[in-house]
Amino acid sequence: MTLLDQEEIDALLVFHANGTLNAQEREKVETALARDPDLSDDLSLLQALRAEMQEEALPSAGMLAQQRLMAAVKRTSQDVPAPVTEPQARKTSWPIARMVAVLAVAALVGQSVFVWRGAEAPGYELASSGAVGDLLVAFQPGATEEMIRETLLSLDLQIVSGPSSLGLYRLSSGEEQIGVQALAARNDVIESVENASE
Amino acid sequence: MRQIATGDQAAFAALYQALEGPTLRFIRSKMNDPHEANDILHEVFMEVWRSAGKFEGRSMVRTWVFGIAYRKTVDAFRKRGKVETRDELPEQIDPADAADMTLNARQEAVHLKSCLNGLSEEQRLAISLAYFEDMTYDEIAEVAGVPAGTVKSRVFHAKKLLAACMRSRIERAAT
Repeated sequence: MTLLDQEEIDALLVFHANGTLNAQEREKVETALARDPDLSDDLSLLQALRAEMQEEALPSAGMLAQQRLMAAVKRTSQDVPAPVTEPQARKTSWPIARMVAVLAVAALVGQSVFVWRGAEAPGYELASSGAVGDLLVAFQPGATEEMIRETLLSLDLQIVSGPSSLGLYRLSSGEEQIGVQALAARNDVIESVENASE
Repeated sequence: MRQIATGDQAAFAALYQALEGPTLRFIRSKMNDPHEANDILHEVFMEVWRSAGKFEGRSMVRTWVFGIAYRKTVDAFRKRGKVETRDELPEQIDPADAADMTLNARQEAVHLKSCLNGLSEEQRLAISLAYFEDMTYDEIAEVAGVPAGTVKSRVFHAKKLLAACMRSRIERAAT
């Protein structure tokens, strides 16, 4: 057997282990396996690897992700006939992570003025447009964007403006009013919280 | 796909439910950040929705969707300016940790995973698609947009690295 043949067999062995070779390739590999015990060891290893990988549970992005996707799809369907172009699509599917990151960067330069309408209808406009929030919060300095996002999503809260010169954000709740105490309980993420009307 | 191309949201939801898990696992195999992986998953299925009419049926739907996921993930890496190349063998485990090891199935699984993580991105991609999804080398080639010969070459090197890594770990565990 030439070196090239051996390499071909070694490559095919990977696919012999997942059972996707055609009859001719399978026969070629089985002939090689019959005369090379080392190859059989390699096959056992590959089969063990496949079995281990197949046992892994499938991940899920969760119901929120599916709802977000279907809402985005619905929006594209409801849009006036004009086809969705790539730049538009990118704008309408702006991930929350990026939005929060932008807000965080804006906090650093002290000039952010975004009004966030939430994951289902992301967008932004000048805070001076008159939007008001229910709660005024400061995030813990060590809170990551992921922690903030998770907290806001779990309580159905949206950042509607901020940060102020003091680093405070105005949050608006979705369907229900979220109490100050519920938010304050997330003290790993929230440094301070108060009703904006107070 | 024909139904989706006509704007059938129920058909789209069914496709999402069928392929969400495998697609997300595929993205996560290249992307450590689960949140970013979720964002890419969203972008992938938005493109599926927008491009369903372009699907010509020359490949399996799953292969086509994975191809989109592959390109989106590569784009995300490019935007971050991150290029990972890990062709070397993975780091060996601490001999102190290995001292008491005998190779049972659980430990073998740990070794296998560790060795798998030591492959290059492209080698790991090929092995992941071969063993998570049971794809043929032609399907993997289509997902990655490379010739089938390139996939064979990648799995050939991946197999050599895996075998060497496993033997090395077994020997260390035995001493």
